[in-house]
Amino acid sequence: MIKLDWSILLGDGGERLIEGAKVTLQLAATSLVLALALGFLFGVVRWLQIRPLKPICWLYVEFSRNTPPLVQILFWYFSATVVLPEWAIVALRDYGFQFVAASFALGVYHSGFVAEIVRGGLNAIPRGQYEAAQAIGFTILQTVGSILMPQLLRIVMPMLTSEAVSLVKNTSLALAIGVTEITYQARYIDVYTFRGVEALLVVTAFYLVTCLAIAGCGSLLQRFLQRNRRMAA
Amino acid sequence: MNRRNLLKALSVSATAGAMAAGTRAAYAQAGSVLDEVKKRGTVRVGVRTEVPGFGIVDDAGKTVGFDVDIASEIANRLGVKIELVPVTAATRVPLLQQGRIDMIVATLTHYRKRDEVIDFSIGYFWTGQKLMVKKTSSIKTLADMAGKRAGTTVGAGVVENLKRAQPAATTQTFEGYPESFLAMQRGLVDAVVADVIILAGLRANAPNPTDYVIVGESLGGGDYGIGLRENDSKWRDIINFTLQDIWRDGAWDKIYGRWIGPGTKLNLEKSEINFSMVLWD
Repeated sequence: MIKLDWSILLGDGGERLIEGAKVTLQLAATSLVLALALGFLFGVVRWLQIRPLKPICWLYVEFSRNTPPLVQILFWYFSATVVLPEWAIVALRDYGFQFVAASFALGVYHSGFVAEIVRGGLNAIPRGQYEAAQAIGFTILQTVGSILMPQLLRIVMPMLTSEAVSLVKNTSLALAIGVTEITYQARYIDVYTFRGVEALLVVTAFYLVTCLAIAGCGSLLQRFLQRNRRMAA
Repeated sequence: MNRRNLLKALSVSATAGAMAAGTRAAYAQAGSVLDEVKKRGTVRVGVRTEVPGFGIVDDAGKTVGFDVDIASEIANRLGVKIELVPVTAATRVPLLQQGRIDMIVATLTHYRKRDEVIDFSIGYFWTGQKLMVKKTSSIKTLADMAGKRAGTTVGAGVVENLKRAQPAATTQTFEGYPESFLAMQRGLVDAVVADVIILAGLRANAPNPTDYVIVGESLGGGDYGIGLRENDSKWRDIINFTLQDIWRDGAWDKIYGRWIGPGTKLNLEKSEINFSMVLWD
């Protein structure tokens, strides 16, 4: 039986894991914000079916959903060097360019799913409400903001929660381009001590707790939205 | 199922999993690996599949290289068949500990810290660790790396060595060596830092090998050893003796000539690597 030695988690090893946990949470937060922003934008625009934008939105959603997240991370990280001049790369890379590339890639990847969730949610709201709002002179923004959005959030919250959970798990892929998140730190500990099992157990627990916490928050939020609805009615 | 029951079910299945893993490891450690291997008629060897010259998948889809030939030579002399198991820097040790492979012949550098977890054979190869940069780069020595960025791979021991030799340099790790090399070509890092032999391999496979130079003094590095399960001296003895036989009767030179020596892609004279094996009478 492999004997576990937790002493590697005291001192340097433990600090590494805490640092890594911070980076993981930062990465998850920035890419989640981006995924939600882009996802809502493309979801709403797709639902509105504005003619000239239709193929662009379709292409965006299908591209972001149907390419593996790891490939997207590598793609955005390395392809940036083709677009940006070399001096810009040299200036950017010391400010965590890999972090930005990973956030962007994960944000784009998950925004495709968010867009489809949003579009599905909007389709579930009777179209008559939208037309009625138009008829009494609401602008598009007013219609979306005060009539559709409150109902939409109730419908899509459970699916958005599971999307957020899968985003947190995907942040571990960022180690491929050197983002020092928690899985990277576990690997680092493993390389020098070969005691990766202990570090991985801690990392597993961290992901489990984080994801369960997100799921918990999601269901609390859902309950809150439901209660509001009853009060409004 | 309510929440409490769910938690209980989770913890039960987790414990069962841990116990199963424990039993397998315990079973694997009973008796010497040598007896197991002889009984099985096959030795399972962990080899790399992405390190040119040492362990790489060739055009025909076969894993070949210096490490693979050394392992096959050992298997031949033990009179058993060989089964190659692809490993990476991150998986090789856990696979050995769990008894899923019998030895690691996969560019594994011998460090004391690593020796706490597994055992090592005597060294069968040595290579220093250096920097590779673009020919046009201003970096010529380790001192020039101050404030610069070096790329290497997750799972490479070189990170700490660079930190010691040049604390003012930043290290960024990538999934594998090819990615770190690509990052250097693209200017995302200034240098690739790795074992000389790995750098030579990366360069050999580049479209313009002459555009890249290996520079600087060696950061250290150690013998490549064969990784063996902890506390199995019977198995380690036979591996050590076999390695020495391979060195003595010239088989080592033949394998070296096939993969690393002059005329190969890596094209390194034996004098450049400056290695000779420890021999016991």
